Amino acid sequence: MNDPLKGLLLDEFAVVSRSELCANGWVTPEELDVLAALGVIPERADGYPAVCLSIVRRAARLKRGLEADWESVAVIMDLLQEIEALKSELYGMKARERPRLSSHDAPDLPGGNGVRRN
Amino acid sequence: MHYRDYYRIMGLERTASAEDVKRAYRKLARRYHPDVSKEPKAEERFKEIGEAYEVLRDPEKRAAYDRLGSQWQPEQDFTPPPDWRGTAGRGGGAHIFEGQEFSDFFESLFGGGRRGTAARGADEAAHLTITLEDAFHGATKPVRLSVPQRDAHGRLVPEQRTLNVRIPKGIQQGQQIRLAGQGNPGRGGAGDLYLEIAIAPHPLYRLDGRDLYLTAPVSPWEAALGARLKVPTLAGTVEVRLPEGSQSGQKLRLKGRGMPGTPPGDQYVLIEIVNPKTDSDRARELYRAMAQDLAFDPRAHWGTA
Repeated sequence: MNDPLKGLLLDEFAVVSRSELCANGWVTPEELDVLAALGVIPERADGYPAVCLSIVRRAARLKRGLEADWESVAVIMDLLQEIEALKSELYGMKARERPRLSSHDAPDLPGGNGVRRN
Repeated sequence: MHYRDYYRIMGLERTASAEDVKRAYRKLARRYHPDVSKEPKAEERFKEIGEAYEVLRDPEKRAAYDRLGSQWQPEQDFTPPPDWRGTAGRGGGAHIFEGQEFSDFFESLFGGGRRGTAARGADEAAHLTITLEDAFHGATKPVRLSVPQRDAHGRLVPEQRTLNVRIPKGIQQGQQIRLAGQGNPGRGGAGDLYLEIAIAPHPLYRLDGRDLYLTAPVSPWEAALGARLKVPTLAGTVEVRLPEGSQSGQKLRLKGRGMPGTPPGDQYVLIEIVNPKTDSDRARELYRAMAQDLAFDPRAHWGTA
């Protein structure tokens, strides 16, 4: 096998330049400024967190795919982010909740009346 | 190569007006856009719709496409007519799908689907599911891709490719890795591959952000009297002191024992008291002794006694 490929992890620590963000996000510098003005990405002169690349690509896909304006894209992005945060919170709640007893030991509550079937 | 019925893909009659085409596209885009759709195979369907729209919204391309005639069946074998070259609306124009690869049917009729003549190849997206252990320690994983390549005649043919990709330790659910130049080939260089990572559910641990949750079943006497528990973590077993008087639902925090990162996550150990079965006379006798000797009413706060 060849040497393993090391990609760029798109997280908040790696940095991408403005020109990289435009070229790989399929947006013009002017469109990037619009996204920054709308708060979709942070306003920077250069050196954006690499996670912005995922954000910009998604924004560009939504803009072109839905033929929407950037303002609508910003709203959609906010809503999608909120849905993802809620899903993650729900997942976290499920992870934190006390595990249910196994079916062998669980009290059987037919019809929710709290009567244990023996 | 197969014929593509763009009208059928968009659910339109061949007589549809430009406004009908736009309306149909917007309706389908809302339904199948992969960023907002829950439909199965949304991405695949959306690419088809996007390609159909690219042709039908452009009067020159649509007229050229219409000249092929209406006798074609979807998926019928297709070769462009001998006098085709040069008659179709090629190049130029603002495309909706920068970075998208079109079908060989489209390319045979209209050439490269992307802006400009020296366009970079399309970016590709792929998903990779890894284990929690791989995410914790980092790993090298093979990623199998079906990538269109041009054959000696310039036709797009699918080619199976395996990439060996380094997964950095501490990668999180949903994070992407960009592999520059590993997307589709193009005259201006290959596009990039975006690999989205999913972490498979684990039989022992549950993941919340960088924190890990593990349920520790304990006996009533361990909980009551305290104990030293041998607890698994992804970095190996550690010994944890269970305090005297512990209750089900309480959790112990193992600081920094969660997923690696800046800062690293924690591991939480959820205490679950498991009662021994009353499957012997001796067991029943011990429970009766506790009932008799311990003044304990777990529902005292209800005030129903």
